[in-house]
Amino acid sequence: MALKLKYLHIDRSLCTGCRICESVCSIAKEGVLNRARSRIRIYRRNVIKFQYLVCVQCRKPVCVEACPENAIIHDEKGIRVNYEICNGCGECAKVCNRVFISPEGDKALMCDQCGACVPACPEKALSIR
Amino acid sequence: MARFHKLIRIDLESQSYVREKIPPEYENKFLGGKGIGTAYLVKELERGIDPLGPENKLIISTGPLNGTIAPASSRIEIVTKSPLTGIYLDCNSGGHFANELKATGNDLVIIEGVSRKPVIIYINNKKVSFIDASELWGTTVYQTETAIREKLGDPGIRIMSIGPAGENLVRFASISNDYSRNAARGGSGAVLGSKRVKAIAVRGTKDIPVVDLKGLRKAVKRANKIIFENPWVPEQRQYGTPRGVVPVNTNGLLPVNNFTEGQVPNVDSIDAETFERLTVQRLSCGECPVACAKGYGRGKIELEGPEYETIGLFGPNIGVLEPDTIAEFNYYCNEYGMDTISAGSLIGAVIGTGKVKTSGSSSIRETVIELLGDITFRKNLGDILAEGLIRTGEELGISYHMPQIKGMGIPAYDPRCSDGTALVYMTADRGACHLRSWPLGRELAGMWEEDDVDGRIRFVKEQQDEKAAEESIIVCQFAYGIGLLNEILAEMVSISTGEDWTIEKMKLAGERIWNLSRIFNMREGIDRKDDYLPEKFAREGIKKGPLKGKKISKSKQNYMLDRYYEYRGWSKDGLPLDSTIRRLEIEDWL
Repeated sequence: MALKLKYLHIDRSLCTGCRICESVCSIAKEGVLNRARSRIRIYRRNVIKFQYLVCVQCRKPVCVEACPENAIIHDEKGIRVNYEICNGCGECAKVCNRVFISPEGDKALMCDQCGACVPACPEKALSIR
Repeated sequence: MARFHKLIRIDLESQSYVREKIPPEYENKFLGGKGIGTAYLVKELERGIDPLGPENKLIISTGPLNGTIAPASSRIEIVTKSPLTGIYLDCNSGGHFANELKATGNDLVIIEGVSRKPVIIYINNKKVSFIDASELWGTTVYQTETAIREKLGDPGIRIMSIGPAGENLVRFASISNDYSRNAARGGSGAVLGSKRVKAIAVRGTKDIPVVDLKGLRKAVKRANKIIFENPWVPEQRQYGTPRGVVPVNTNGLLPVNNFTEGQVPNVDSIDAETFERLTVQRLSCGECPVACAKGYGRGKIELEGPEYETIGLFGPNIGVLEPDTIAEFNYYCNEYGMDTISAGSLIGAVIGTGKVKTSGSSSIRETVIELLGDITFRKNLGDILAEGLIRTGEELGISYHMPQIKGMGIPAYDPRCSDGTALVYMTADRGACHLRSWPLGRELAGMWEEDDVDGRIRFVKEQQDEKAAEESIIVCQFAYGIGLLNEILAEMVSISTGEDWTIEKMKLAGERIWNLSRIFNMREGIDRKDDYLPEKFAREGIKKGPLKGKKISKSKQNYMLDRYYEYRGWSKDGLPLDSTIRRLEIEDWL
């Protein structure tokens, strides 16, 4: 369990904030175009800075602890949402800003390192490592 | 689809709103963006109303590709009556606002009336709320945007706002979004200021209704290939618009000392490489693989840019060749919320005519920064300048030296450089504008014989129509080129909307738009007499450089207008003929 898990890495020196990754993510994971369903978020913080939010598979995942349904799995394969259990209650998103709740409030959206966004980034700023 | 077929109509007086269906004939005839916005403006605005009064409307308009995954599809259109020119105005800005607005489930927003108190309009999906903005009134643009996002507690919100210049009804105040992206020309910020709207915040979580998403993904792959096979794009990606500085100077059409000289001995200090070195962060608009924006940051002076126009007009035009000083002027314009082209051309005119005295470069820097503050807060001479180029010219007795057409300041390419460029400025819908057609590159490359003026005139007419369509789709010319150069545009719109669009049909929409805006202007008293360059450009030649002595004579202008009107199906006075209106089937909008 102490193994470092792979996660989606964003090279901040390359990212220009175009958010193509967000739309690609929503299509890949949800089958629709909707940046509010994305598991990666690039928010504008000021004129030249962004906030880059995506699950980084941290060593002590507070989301796992926070979930009242035990719907967030944490094992050697990584940290991920069990969508058979998750009901979108939002407790995970209260403790971590790298997990998001769907617009309908019916489930948590967390990056599962599927990699669909990686080749779509025109700046080659994304990698799974 | 990729359309929601819905608009939100907001009444500020009663702080209420209704959602209306956008009739299909608006979409079929005018495409979207600039087109649909223009159709509503022409249909709904009474002739002769005060642009800063309650009867003016401000329309924010998206196109069928906004919100989709089409490359470089996140520009937004604003259409209103201009307080600077008193005629039709549309301005177009990059950023991310367009995609977020589309995701609210609305294609268009029409803002009417005047609010009693300063207000933020917050569009959250189908719901609109009106939030008291009294505390924010007076704050600059960057602060305003950060404060609103914090106040509303959602980092995904996108914001259009005005600064103190808009509040104080400076007639060339801009509307800003994403901090440093501006719909700047013509004073749309003053229109919002007159309505006491400090900002419009949007947050949308709706699925974008692309009819054939799979098909669009395939088309996007091809579009990207087309974009990156365009030999023009890599340099745009690397350097952005400052790439223009050296060739414009070399060819002798740079505005120097209030559009007198055309060339400076050396522009190395303000060239593209210099600004690239000063870039601290590359930036892009939504869904754009070109990413031509340059994030400049030095202490508090942060901005996207400066862009070519700002470099020209706040640089050689006022005798400044210092890149950080130009960036500083740009920063103040951004924070106050005003157009750098208008401010630069105005200040160039008052310095060039000696109405404002400067000595040495540090003196110019201080003088200009002080003037920008005085314009914003309407102090001293700034109170006159805030009224725009025509009134400043009249008040100070320097009308002859004012670089403007229909009240709009001339951009950073001397109109005497070519017949085509002159005609573009003369006939642009919102007054002197460089973004409606761009014959200059072809003229320099020798595409037309020296005496083939008609070739240029026809080209300008055709490209104006195509560009109006491009700004209705809405995609960015820096990715696709100017106009409708590739079938892929029609294909992506058709795939996204399920409608049947061809390049020809889009071009026809562009021609309709061009005629509607002309009819709007005609109702405001515009005709042939307003379509000329300022007298200076017909009488005096450029004073230095390879174009030394070049001017555009009155008889040349007359010839070009005659032929241009003919190609357009307009009368000798420059008014659309009944037969043209019937051919374009736009009678219902008159």
